[in-house]
Amino acid sequence: MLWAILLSLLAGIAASYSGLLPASLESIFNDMPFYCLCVMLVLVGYGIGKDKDALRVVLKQNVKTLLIPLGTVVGTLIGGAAAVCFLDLNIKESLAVAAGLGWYSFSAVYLTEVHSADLGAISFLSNVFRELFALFLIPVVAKFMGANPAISLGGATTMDVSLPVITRYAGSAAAVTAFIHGLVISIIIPFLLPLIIH
Amino acid sequence: MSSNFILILCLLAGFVIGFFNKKTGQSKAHALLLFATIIILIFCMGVILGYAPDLPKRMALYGYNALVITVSAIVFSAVTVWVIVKITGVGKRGK
Repeated sequence: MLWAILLSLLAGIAASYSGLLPASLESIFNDMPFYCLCVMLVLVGYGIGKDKDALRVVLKQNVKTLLIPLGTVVGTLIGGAAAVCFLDLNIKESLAVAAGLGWYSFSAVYLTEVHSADLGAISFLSNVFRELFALFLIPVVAKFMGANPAISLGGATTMDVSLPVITRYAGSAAAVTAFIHGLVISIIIPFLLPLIIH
Repeated sequence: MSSNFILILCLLAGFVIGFFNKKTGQSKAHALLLFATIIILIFCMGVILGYAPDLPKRMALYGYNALVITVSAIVFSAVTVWVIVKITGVGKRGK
């Protein structure tokens, strides 16, 4: 999946940079992502709504379990704010990039739409990095800090891409927490990003 | 109607449709459509980026910014969750 995504990004860059797609088409490509985002969010919402077993698991959990995704969001935003000291971005931009929490397909395109292609590109790379770092660091963090800090690394990816790694290195008991963590964060992001960037 | 409101409506509309859909299990068509949408979205983003004439110069800066934000975000999120677990004891059985 990640390779297909990276290839499609590179193909898009190559097509326009090389002049294969003339500049007269730019306005079409500026408008199209919004409609695709709408379709993607309908599909994501559909997937969440249809998975009633997952919803039942979430509702059965102790409310305290929600502190884990909440901690991930708060910690990520603190990290995004702290990163400003080393960057030429303002705090809003840095927070918005961090608030993608690993969901690169939504956050990068959303920030391209509402802010700029530059911030969208930073967001895309940052969220791809988060997914990759999570896959490599979850085993280490699970060993030295425990299952929950390890889950927090994955952000929104803990309900899909990083779930097998969490199950393998943090134990099967952590898998339920990881799934809820990813689900809650995936629901939060579409509300959180507009709040930060506007 | 603002674009953010439309996007949130789309998420909620999808949730309602999915919730009241009687068919069980995730369909292949749904997964395939989602994948295709993501590929088109990322391709469009690439096209928009490629229209910038000074793209090669900017790539290193994009990478540096992304790396710093990612490292800072994951370090602080792991530490924050670790502190929450220590204080509240939530999810300790997951270790």
